[in-house]
Order: sequence, then structure tokens, then C-alpha cells
Amino acid sequence: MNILHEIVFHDEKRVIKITNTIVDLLWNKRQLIYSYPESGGILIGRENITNNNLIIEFATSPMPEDIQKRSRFIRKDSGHLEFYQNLYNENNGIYRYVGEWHTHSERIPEYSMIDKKNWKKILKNDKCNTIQYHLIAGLEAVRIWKIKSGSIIKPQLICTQFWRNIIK
Amino acid sequence: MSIQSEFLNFYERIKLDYEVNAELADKRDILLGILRNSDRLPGFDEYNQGSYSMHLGIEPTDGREYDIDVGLRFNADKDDYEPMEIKNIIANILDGHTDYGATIKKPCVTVTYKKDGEPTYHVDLVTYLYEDHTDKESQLYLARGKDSKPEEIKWEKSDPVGLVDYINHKIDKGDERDQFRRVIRYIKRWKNRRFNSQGHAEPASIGITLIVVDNFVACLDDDLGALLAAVKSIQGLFKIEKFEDDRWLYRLKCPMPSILKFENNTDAFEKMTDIQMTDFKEKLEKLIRDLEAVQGEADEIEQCKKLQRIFGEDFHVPEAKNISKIQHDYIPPISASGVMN
Repeated sequence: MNILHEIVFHDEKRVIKITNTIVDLLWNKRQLIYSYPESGGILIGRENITNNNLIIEFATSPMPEDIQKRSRFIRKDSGHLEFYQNLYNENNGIYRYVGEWHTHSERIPEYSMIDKKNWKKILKNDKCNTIQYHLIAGLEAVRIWKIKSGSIIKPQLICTQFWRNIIK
Repeated sequence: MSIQSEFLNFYERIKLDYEVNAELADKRDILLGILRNSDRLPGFDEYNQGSYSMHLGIEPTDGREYDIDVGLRFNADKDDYEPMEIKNIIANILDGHTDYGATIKKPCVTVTYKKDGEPTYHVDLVTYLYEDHTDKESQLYLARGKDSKPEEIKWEKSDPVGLVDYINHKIDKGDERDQFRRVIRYIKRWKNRRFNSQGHAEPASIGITLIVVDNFVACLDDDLGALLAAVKSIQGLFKIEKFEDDRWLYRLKCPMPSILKFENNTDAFEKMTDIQMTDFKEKLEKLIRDLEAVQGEADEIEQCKKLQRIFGEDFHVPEAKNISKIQHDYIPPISASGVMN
């Protein structure tokens, strides 16, 4: 059994942490062999009042109504929404939707046109949040992109973490 | 709230406020009254020494007692008395005052009180005589020793007033000195939790206080940073002493400030063995690693959990709802990823 570090990185002045429970989930969902389908889910976190640090504390796993294929993941099971809603309601509204995660069967993942379109649509539909973070777990690295509202909306790569540096 | 607020709240919980703790001051005053009314002792001036006078006292942890150190400067010359003479008279007068009587220890006479059947308080009476009692500026001598160890009995040059003044005034009054006092109290709480109070395994607080006061670097609104710097300043002073039983042993020496009138080569840590000293060094290094891990932690709750492991239950872990932003309620109902086939 591998013991995994959490992932910690900086975005401008804030520190962002992805807890090792999530890292463990991503590690287990890597598409190591051809028959493994793409997996995905949502990322949920909370932000410190004082320093704005973001703690990404929860992630959902693929659920029965989701569509999982070799190079396709469609999150449509309502269980993801219920998980988020319960967390939000039961914790005084301190948890937020941070972004999506999914796997790629490439060594160092890059986002696809479908990914980019999806992320832009998610941002556009959010009337309040101006920043979201989306994660893709590849075979050798995990990468995180930031997307924020502005005149030109383009995902910005802010973190590449190699699995070899995450495993203790 | 922030981690600094949690440190300040922790400080308020551990700080021993002697003005508030009137019971201890009452015990002291009763003892001094008994001694003053005795015709067996020369007159004396009392002087609060120890953590009480330096504003560095902390609430005792389980199994430890409240204490107060009182220096008694007798109007007498050391050449007119043997070191044990006055200590024995004090112990004799106070014998029977409490269930525990008065115990002669090497540096003092200790009177212990109990509450609900358990020892709870003790007052240490430290005896000093002058070189020349008609000159209050003349050298003071501490009556050191106990009858069971006659070879260690002696008059020892001491400067208790100078020592308290040195620690109280080395750092100018203000935010910096306030932070210094907080940092010392944090270290003391850690020390009380990590060392056995019996014997000499626990490093003397006065040694730690002297090192930190001489090397203190204030960090505005950052007690964690100031504490870490202070602990590193102590750890950096250890030197290799010898190689024994397949391991290196280390020592840290803390001489009394040279401007004070102490015996030459007085070392605040002299009672500790090399093995105890090496254990102290290893515990300091663990503390440094633990504090650095707190600094590197992004999550305030995890930071406080780590600090609670260092300092105990008096360091509280806040609830997430009290330190986190309120978020607006949004989740995209559906999401699609992948590549076109």
C-alpha cells in the first residue's frame, strides 16, 4: 500500500491544499490499463477567512448514473449534487464547489477541447464565483488549471505534481 | 480568527496571573509574618524572584504545583553565620505550619500546602546574607546546601535582584517585550508536558529565559515565527561534549550574565547530566520540526490540531464554521469531459 502526500501549491497569494484522501482517490482511479474507463467527480473545499487559503477537502467518485468510457466521462448522477448540497447545508454554507476532476490515459495530461468548453460553461453559469479549479489525473502527473472570468477566458495551468513526488 | 488569535487565546489560558491568584500571595504573606515576628531571626527584606517577578509564570499542568519564590535578604553578614544556620531556624519556625512542614532544599526552604488532600502550592524561601549588611549594595550570598550533603554546603555569590532586572529590562517595554513573555510561557508549557518534573531531567526555566532574552527576534503579529526563532536560538547553542556508549552527547551552557554579581562559571543547566542534556536537544529538534510543519500547513484547523499536539488541550482547535468564509450555493448539475472519437 502506498502512503500518499497531500498536494499543496500556490496560486498568487493563497495556498491551496488537496487533502490526501482525495489524492488517494485519484491514485486509485488512474487509467493504468486499457480497460480502465475515465473517472471523474466534483471537488469541494472551504476557504480560510484570514488568509484566503483554499482547502479542497472532499471529492465525489463516479456513480451509477454517470457515463464512463475509455475517453469520456459524463457526470449526470444526482448523487454528486446531493453530496455537495448536504455538505453545504449541514456546515453553515462554508463549503463551495471548487471544480471538476477527471482522469486521462496520457502520461502528462492536457485538457481537451471538450474539457475546455465544459469548464467555460461551468464558469459562465456561476453568477458569483469568479475562479474555479479543475484537475486532471494522468498516469505520471496530476495537473490543475485555474479558470476565471475576464475578457479572455482561458484555463491557466497552475500546478503539475508528479506521482513519484506524491508517494511517500 | 487566525492562528495568531488562537495563540493569544492560548496565552490567556496558560498565563499565571499572580495578582488574581490571591491565595498564593496570602500564603506567602502569612509565612513572612511568622518569620518577621520571630525573635530567632535577624530582620529581613523580602523580594519576589522567579517567574512571579519576571511576569513569566504559567498555570501548572497536571501533577505540578503552583509555586512562588521569595528571596529573603537578611540584615546580617554572611561571616557571622554558617550557611545552614538561618535555613535551619526558618525550617524550625515553620515546622508544623502545614501538614508537610518545611523542607530544606539546596537552594531554599520549601513550605508545601495541600488542598483536597493533594499538594497544590509551595512557597520557596531563598535565604541571602550580605557581605556587609550596613551596605545594601554589597555582595549578596545565597545559603546553599542541606545537612545531608555537607560537602555541598557553602555561601554562594548571588545577584537575584540584578537577574530579575536584567530579564525585565533587556527588551524595551512594548509589543516586543510582550511577545517575548508570551514566547517564554509557550516554551514553558511545552517543557512541562515533555519533561518529568522529578530530578533534573527538566531544563531550568531561568537558563531558557536568559538565552531567549539575549537572542530574541520579534515577529510582529506572528507568535509562531517568534517562537520558532527562539527555539532555534536555544538549539543552535548545543556543543558536542563527548562520545559515549555509541552515541554523541551534547551540552548547552548558560552562564549568568557577566555584568551581574554571580559566582564565576555559574551555569543555569549545570545540574543536568550529559544524557539529560542530549535528550533536551533531541526534544528541541522535534519541537522545531513540529513548528515548521505548522508553518507549512495551509489549513488553519490542521495548524491548530498540530499545535494542540505540542501544547495540550489549552490550545484550542476552532470549528471550521468560525474560521471559514461563507460561500454562495452553486453546483453545475452536469459535466462532460473527454475527447471526441
